[in-house]
Amino acid sequence: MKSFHKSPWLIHYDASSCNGCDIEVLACTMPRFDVERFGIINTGNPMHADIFCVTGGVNDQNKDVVKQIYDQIPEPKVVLAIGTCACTGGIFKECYNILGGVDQVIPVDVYVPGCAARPESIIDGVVKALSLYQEKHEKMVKEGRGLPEDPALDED
Amino acid sequence: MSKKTIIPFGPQHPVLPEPIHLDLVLEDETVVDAIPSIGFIHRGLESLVEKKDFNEMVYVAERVCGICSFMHGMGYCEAVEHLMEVEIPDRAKYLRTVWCEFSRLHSHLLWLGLLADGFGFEALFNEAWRIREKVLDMVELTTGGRLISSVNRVGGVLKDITPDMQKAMLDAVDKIEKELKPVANTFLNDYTVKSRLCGSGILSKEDAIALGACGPMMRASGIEVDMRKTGYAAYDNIDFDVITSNDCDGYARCQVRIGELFQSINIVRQAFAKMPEGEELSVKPKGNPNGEYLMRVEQPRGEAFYYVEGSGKKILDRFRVRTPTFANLAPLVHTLKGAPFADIPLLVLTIDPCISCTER
Amino acid sequence: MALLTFSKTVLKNLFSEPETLNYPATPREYPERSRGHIEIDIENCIFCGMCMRNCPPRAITVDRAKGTWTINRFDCIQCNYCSEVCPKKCLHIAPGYCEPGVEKVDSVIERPGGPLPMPKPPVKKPVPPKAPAAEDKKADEKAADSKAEDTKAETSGSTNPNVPRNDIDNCVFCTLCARNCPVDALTVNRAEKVWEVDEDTCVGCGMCVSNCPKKCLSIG
Repeated sequence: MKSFHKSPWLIHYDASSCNGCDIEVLACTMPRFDVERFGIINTGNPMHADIFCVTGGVNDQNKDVVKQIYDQIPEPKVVLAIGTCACTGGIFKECYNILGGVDQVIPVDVYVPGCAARPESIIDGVVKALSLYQEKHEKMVKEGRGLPEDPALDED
Repeated sequence: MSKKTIIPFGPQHPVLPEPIHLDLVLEDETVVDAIPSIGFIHRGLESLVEKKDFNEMVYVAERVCGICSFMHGMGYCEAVEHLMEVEIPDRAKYLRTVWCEFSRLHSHLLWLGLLADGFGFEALFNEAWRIREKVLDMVELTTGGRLISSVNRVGGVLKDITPDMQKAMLDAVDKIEKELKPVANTFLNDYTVKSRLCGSGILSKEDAIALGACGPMMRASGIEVDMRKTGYAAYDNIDFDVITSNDCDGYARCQVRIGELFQSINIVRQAFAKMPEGEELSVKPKGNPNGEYLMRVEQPRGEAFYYVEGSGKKILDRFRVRTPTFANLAPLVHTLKGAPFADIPLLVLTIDPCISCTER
Repeated sequence: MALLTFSKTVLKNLFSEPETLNYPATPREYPERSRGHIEIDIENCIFCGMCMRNCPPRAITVDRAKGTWTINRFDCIQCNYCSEVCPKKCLHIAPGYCEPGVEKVDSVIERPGGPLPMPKPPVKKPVPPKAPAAEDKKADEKAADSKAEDTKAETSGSTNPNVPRNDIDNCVFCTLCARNCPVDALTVNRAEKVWEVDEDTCVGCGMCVSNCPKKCLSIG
């Protein structure tokens, strides 16, 4: 049961953050932090993704976009709320257009605090998300909704 | 005449980390019209001015945008300082200049990386972002934050750059300059880069003025406009030329920004050489802001306006920001017309869009 | 136009030290000024609530009655403004980010030894004969008090329990209370024997009471 969570692909969407966290998510894939060495790829297509990274407190205009991307990601999926705004709304929660946290719109599995969230804490959040991802997959297999992984892939 | 097709672009698009939506009207492969729709990351942070006092508002102003965060904070502080007639200590002015130029360095390097990604040069993308990390290290060393610095306050700055830090910063700047040269050479001379950028997205001098472009977009059309020449912070004591180009295309914008990278390095060195010694970093403003003021600041993406209005209370009446990307959207739509569909992501990138700033 | 301009850099990178940090296998060291999380020196906290009122995202809750200082780490934006405004300088920001979590839990910090003891009202002493001017000032102060009450709707009754009161007969107008006030809510004029408190600014921290040499101030 390693092969599946060996190479999770993530998709990132900016749901009204200040850009700080988005750039840090991108910086994670850059030479200094390089999450690609764990097999993590930043993909642009929700249908290819396993982990959904959302930054920013959701607003009225993009809540449908967030929901749509969430629905397009195949099961099992894990949602990461990156940054203080995505966790609670942060400094913007008193703004008229902020719903206050991604969990108002879609279920969130891991919260990564920080303003802007540091690449280190994003990596830690992804690591935490991976164990949840594995649990979710096992649960799906038990319920007969998913295929168990090919044991041949587990041989290191 | 072929049939017109409308293709939506965004809001979630792989080439941009931020959401922007464009409805592209196509005739075969050519774009005939582009209709932008914004508001996907509108937060309404200007309204927070009614709830937070003018000192607390600095932290809100900084979060207009995470990339040029320092300059947003500084623009707001300078506007309130003018309103309250506070003269900040000389050392604080130079410190602001140094941090400004560091954020310009990191913003332009970020843009160079994204541009390289836009035309599919992955190695160059990684190289630009690798150099950018060195800039961020220095920002974190001196301010404590990688992106959001939180060192501005109304009346000066909160933290000093110690001699050790100054040395580290100057060493880093030397290293960055050395590593930047081959990258700049690739951007300016490489065959693959030139074939994608030359002649794409032409914005003539007349159009740039008529459509109200700003920043590197304006300078790449041969117009010498730079708000740093108005002399805020310590720029009036710094010797620099405005970098312009007459090519008016994507390549010219790249040229201008690369020129500004080396210029920023030069300004950092000058600022450290001219920086006066002193313990005093900030003065405590007396009373509350009263009146109105419009501050203009040159950001990495162009000219930003900060309008503040107070009526002698702790809480300001109005805070308004006009950001450079908003001004550059009209020229962008103009350059998109007539471009091949495959060039759209690249053309969107050449204005260095910062949607967070635009929508606030 | 030149071809393969980047190959030299690529070759150089191939043989140079890796740029990538071995994170998370090797823990990261942060510079001294790095803003990671807020720490409190709870022993010195006077529970004045300045941090709570000035926190831009309102992440801090100060409960004076229970003696707890609570911060929602998932709401904190690490701006360091609380430590700027803290009158006792017991808050500071330390390197090291907040851990990601699956739930947004508050971290509650309790004051060892329970809540801060509320300053007790002074024991009533027989009123010594004093200059009548002081009595007038007392009346003035009461008038000012009731005027302030009118503007503040939430305050009921004639006296606000969160604002210090002065037994003006015993007051020597030493100005120690005003000098120790974290929010500059007190005005003391020795020459004219005036002692005034600005109810809107007062945070009810009790600093003035604990610093009063004559024990003529009381709160609560």
